[in-house]
Amino acid sequence: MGYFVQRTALMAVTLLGVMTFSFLIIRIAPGDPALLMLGDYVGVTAQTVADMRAKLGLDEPIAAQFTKFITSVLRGDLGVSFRNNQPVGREVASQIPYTLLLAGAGILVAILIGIPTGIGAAVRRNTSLDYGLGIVSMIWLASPSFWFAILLIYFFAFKLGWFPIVGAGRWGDWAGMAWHLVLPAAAIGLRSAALIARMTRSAVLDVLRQDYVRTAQAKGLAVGSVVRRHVLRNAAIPVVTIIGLDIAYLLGGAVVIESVFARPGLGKLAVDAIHARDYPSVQGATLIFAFGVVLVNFLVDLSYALIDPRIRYA
Amino acid sequence: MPAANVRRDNLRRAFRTIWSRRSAAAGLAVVFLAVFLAVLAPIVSTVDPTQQNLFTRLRPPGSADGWLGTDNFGRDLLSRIIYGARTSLTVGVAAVAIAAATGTIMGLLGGTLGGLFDQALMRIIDILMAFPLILLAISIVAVLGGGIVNLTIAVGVSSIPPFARLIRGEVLKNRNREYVEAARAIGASIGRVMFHHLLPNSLSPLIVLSTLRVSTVILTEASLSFLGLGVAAPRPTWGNMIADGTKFLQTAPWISFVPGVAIVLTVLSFNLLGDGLRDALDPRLRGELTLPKQ
Repeated sequence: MGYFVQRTALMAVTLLGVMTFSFLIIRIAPGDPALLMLGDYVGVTAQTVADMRAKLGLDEPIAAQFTKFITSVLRGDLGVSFRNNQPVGREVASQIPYTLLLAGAGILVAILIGIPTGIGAAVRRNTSLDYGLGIVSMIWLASPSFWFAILLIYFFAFKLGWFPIVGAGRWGDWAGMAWHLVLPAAAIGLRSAALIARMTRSAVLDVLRQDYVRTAQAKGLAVGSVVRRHVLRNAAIPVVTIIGLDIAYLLGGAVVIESVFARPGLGKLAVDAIHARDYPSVQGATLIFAFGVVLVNFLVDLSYALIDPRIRYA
Repeated sequence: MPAANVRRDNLRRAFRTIWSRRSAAAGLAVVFLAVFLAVLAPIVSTVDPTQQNLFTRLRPPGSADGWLGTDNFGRDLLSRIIYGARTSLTVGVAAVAIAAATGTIMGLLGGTLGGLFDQALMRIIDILMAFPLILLAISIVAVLGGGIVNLTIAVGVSSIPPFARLIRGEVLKNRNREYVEAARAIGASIGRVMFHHLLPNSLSPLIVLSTLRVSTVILTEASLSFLGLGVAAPRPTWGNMIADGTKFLQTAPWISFVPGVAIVLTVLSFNLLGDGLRDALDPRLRGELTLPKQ
């Protein structure tokens, strides 16, 4: 219980920090934020700048601005988009399911491929499977995900015609949505699979060297049972850590992948907003991404306690 | 033995270890080649990378108009790849320098001073780490605007956390060692202890992390340029070249494929070199996993 309370308090502090950072970044940058937001819009006059300052509340004392910002965010009010005058909160909320779907599918691909391959490579150490995995994962980790996505589009959409190239399908048409999800999920998931496979391999190898594994083998258990009953749970902590870190990476990857496939989502919203100099939308999307990462890290911390009871009572 | 000789001996030993590992040696060779091409771009490449020729558009690799083919404006892809290396390596090295310098100072101060200052610093680092690298860079570009200098600052600032954490960890490990106590006992100032005793003993992991981070930065720069948030056309970068090629993916896929291969080779080489350096400079870390983050 103490562990849970401690982690929750830490998460609250980090969330407050994330909001403070979002608040400060535009205000500590050189130049007038109002002018920066107006950017290259035509017809910018002194009056427009003054209006913008008033609209953003920049004419108030900084402490008042800060309190207002934090209370608004906590109420789900992320400001108004410059592009379409819609509340950013609503716009962001409508995009979250798409990004969650993409990140979820990506992590599923990564886990389903990464963990079995990693275990296989560790159990069959120094065989062609192990070396092959090593080489493929190194090349994979060196490839930019958007380039990998383009290769997938070229071969599986243009050449073979198996999958659609753009969009995410319609809500309700689940088969169509799944079809649209295959290439983007592969583009972000396979790279993570390489990372998870490497981590699983090294974690399993570490556990395989332990005395209790030798005992299990000595009493005549088959390799499969040894791995299932003794190795997996003990190798789980570093693997869960890397999956947690990787979800943060996957969320970042979604920014680029959504743009490559012209899929709706938080990432595409942020990129489109930045091109339109729609700062409130950029800020809203980034804030929600950061909240997501903090939440994932919190869940990863909690899962440690589930996996390893020693952590709970420490 | 004088300190300079010891250092030279260590350097020689490190170089021998790298040389004896084929993968690290290959990485070093490709990194050298990339740096050589980037520095001598105007001499190596006789063709202007922005020179358009509508009569030689979309030529495939191996054609008479360019070894690696031409793009939709008839620009020579080889020349653009060579000039693109300039951007990627400049941003890569400069951003890592910003991150390493700032992160080192933060880590040294936090680790040495401890207490509330250290706690506050670590919270700031945690907060920065809550933003995925590319989004943090995007927020900074959103505020500062595009262009190569702002891009470098954005990616550099976003890469500070791992350096600050690494150096703080090293300082915490070393600050109670005898040589630090000895320095304190003879009245060395905190600054002297930090920069003359703690920093030199953290250099090996710092060099390793810097090498590995160049890869991450190159990938991030490529992503931002691909999204049109980095270096603007017509200046070639590998990221914006891939973006240009997507419009011609069906008819001229090489426009996107070729710069991607350049990125993979360069990033792979920095990773191999980083792994080799880690084995050479810090044998304790041998076999530990590299965690590339984007």
